[in-house]
Amino acid sequence: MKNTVTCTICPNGCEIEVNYTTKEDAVITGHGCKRGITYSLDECFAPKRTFTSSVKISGTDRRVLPVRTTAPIPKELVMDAAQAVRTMALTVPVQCGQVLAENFLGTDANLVSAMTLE
Amino acid sequence: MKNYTCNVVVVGAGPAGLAAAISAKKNGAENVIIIERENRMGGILKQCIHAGFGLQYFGEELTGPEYAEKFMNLAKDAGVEFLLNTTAIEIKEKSLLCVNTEGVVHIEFGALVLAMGCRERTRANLMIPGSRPAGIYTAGTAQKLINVFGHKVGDEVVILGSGDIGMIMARRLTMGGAKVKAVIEIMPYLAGLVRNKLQCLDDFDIPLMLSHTIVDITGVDRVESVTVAPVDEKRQPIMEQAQVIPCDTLLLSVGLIPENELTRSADVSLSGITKGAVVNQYKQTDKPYIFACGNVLHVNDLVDHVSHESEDAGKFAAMYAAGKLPQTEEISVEPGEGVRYVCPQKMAATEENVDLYFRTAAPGRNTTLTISDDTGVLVTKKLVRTTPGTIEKLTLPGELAKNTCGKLVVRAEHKEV
Repeated sequence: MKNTVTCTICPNGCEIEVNYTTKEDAVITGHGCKRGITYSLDECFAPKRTFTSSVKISGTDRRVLPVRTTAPIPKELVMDAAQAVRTMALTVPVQCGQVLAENFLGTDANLVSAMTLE
Repeated sequence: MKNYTCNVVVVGAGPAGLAAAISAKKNGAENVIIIERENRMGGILKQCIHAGFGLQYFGEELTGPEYAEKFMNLAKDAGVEFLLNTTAIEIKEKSLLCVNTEGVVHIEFGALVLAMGCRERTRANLMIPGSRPAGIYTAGTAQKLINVFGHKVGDEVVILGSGDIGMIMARRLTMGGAKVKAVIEIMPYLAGLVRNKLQCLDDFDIPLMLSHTIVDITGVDRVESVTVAPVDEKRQPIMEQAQVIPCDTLLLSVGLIPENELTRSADVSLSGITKGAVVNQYKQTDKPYIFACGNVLHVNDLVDHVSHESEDAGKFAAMYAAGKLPQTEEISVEPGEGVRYVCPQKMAATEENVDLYFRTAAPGRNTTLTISDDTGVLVTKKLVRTTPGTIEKLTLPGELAKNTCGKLVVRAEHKEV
């Protein structure tokens, strides 16, 4: 298998080629630094994204509260995560960083508030 | 009527204003007041709920509201004063006229920092033909409706313009259950950052149509369809190849314009290219007591840059207010071949390092960036690739800055397109 991954770690945007049959024997070329190796392997074998969305909130002029995961979650769970937060509802006060769901969707990440609303 | 006196007044409590005010305070300004027309600090970051902020400034990936909250707390800790729900109306010499629910407010200042941010270009700016149904939004307005007020803006969406907000909204709408049918860009290259194309469009299989534009909008009460056509090298639509895309919503992500009405009231010179004030490296305008930073000065792609630039503006405003900013002779800083604009546009004689921020005119690879004066090249930097969507920076070291001869010119030369 051959995959071309554009690295998004820094603005250089290296185009990294990953040739592999398994993750262990992957041959990586085109990376400008070490971080590109980890990024391109992750993109090929276990792509992750930081999930951000919003949750209904009452008691303030803002109708929705911004939320995020504390760490990137598997890319294939992003749409499930979007579905899951749609049914949640909160009331003020909420602190920035307050945990709203632990081990969100079975990942190691927590879902937390990204804003203080009092 | 209420009167205030302060060393430095900052107009706007977005990322630029917050960073400038904190820095003014840290650099010796005793009284620093921020004027903010909304009921909360944070500016546009309040609605930018996606992650990707702070990678450079804080070394961690934050959402917009988190980035804003960190600066709000720093500002409170530093002892910055705030007037919320207060609109700045006019600058008259060293006095700022504002209004709020208590009436007219006068603020006498030693130095003023403009940090009002920018506005979106609209359908009227583009003169897109067609009918005028509901369902046409600028991307930032849609962002506020969704991320602050929890509305759903539409089900089947087309986005015009591949700016960052447009691409981020494509992802946001998709995650909210809408179908984004296409992102349409008139130029042959992306307007925003590559990372946004990868994570907002490619992740969700949203097609990007480069070298295309919208030539018609149909619908009576609500948008029913848009007509999309490819464009030739002169950006003229090729009507024979036009196609109709049914949709109920059109988002426009077609550029930002610095919001400089207040600046004009002070008779500050504006640049025809950046649409912001003409400044020297201190972010000082041609009215020496007025400084400018953030998107009201020139539209930035990263808030981290805004914070750094605004800290400079705040620092030098504080120095000016204290009578400690030397007024020296200025030389012109100009864009040369391959460069669209440079900010600052002037350099005051100095022995300190001077950072020049600029955008290239077209994307390319193996790019050589240079600063020259009348005697030749002073600074050279090589980059693997550059694009107009990313602001570049060159630093003129102090030992070269003090001996410059004639004007400075910044150039970009691509080995490959």
